[in-house]
Amino acid sequence: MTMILNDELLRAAAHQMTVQTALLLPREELPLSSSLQEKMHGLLWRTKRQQKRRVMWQRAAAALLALVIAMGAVLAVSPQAQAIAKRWLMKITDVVTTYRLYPATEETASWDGLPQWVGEGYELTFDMQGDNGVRTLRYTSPQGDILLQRLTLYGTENTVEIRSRATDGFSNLQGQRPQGEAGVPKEYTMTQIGIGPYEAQQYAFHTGTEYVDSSGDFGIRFYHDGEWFHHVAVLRGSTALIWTDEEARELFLLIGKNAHDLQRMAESIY
Amino acid sequence: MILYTQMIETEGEKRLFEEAYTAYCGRMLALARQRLSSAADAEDAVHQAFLSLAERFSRLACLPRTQLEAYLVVVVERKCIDILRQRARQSDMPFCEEFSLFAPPPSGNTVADAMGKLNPRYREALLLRYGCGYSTAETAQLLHLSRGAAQKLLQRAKGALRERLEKEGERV
Repeated sequence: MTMILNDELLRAAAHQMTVQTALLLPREELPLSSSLQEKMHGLLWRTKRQQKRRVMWQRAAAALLALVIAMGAVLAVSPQAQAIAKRWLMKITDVVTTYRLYPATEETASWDGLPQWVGEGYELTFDMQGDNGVRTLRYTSPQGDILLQRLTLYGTENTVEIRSRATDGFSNLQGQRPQGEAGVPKEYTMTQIGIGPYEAQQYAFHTGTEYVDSSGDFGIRFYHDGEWFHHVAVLRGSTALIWTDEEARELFLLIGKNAHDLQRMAESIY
Repeated sequence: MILYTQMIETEGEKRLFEEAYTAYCGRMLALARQRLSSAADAEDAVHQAFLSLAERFSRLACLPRTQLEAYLVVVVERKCIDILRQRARQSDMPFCEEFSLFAPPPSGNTVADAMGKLNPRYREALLLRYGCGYSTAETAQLLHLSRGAAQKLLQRAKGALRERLEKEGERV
């Protein structure tokens, strides 16, 4: 039988090789000499210093990004591509969709709005509140998973990016991120819908574009002070819903395969 | 699974880096000593590996443990090879760049096992791109290459993998 070295096969093989390679790392440790310990402590100290410098750069870059986004109205960006609400602003260019999330000044009383409707066969298998302010819930079923994430807006200003293959590269040390030109991304489509009383965006990530291979081609990345702290990889063919709940002061992100089910699930929160 | 998440603790990279140092430094030294007879050379390889890790830590901090450990093995191997190449040059001895120091144990998966036998540079590129799931652009940054150079390296790695599989009697 002829084997085709496509991305899927390479990914499976590389995953297996990664597991086998990790096994090579011995369990036992050798003691470090005093000279190596000294060098390593120097490295740790230097890393701290470099990180402080980097944070300063990133803060400056974040301020610049905020200015650029705030001036979105005067940039050559489609008016339809921008939406301003109380606590968020969105900008779309040909390579990236960016949300700027304004911090809430007051914390709300604890609100545990969870979907009252979940598709048949789905089971809540994971619920964790991260230190980074993101609560993650995973609903698992044989036909695929649904991921619900909630990011509190209290006290911090964050940005969120919808990334695709065209969103080239990570942020550099100065926190510069792809800005793009006027237009809309080709690798996914965005539709405005309503979830409860709130405006929401529904993203459909295309299955067949020149950019995609077979998985992990899209991502939703959360930044604080120009540094990304949370990333969700999204496979092609998936759908994502994003909305900001002004009362709960939270950003909601719902990802899965079936757009209709996602919308129904999101609406059942209200 | 149609999706997965990767999270970084808000306490930040500094703490993660210190944790990586505490958890892996002694183990990386044990690995380096398997191929470098000189304790000083092995320590040098580990120090260089951590320097390399520090430079890329913002990209690597989110890796799951298995992938991070595999990456550390690859980095230690590369640093050991650098030292062996230097020693060979100093003593006017030939040095084979295809030389693999740490071949992963067989898994029974034909393609994975063939991948594990490739030269370390190819293995590293394939591990980052396909094992850790970085994009080509991100792989390029981790390898300190231009995107074009990384694409060529990945193409060559795939070509070498194809050749190896054919040598082993597979039809590719």
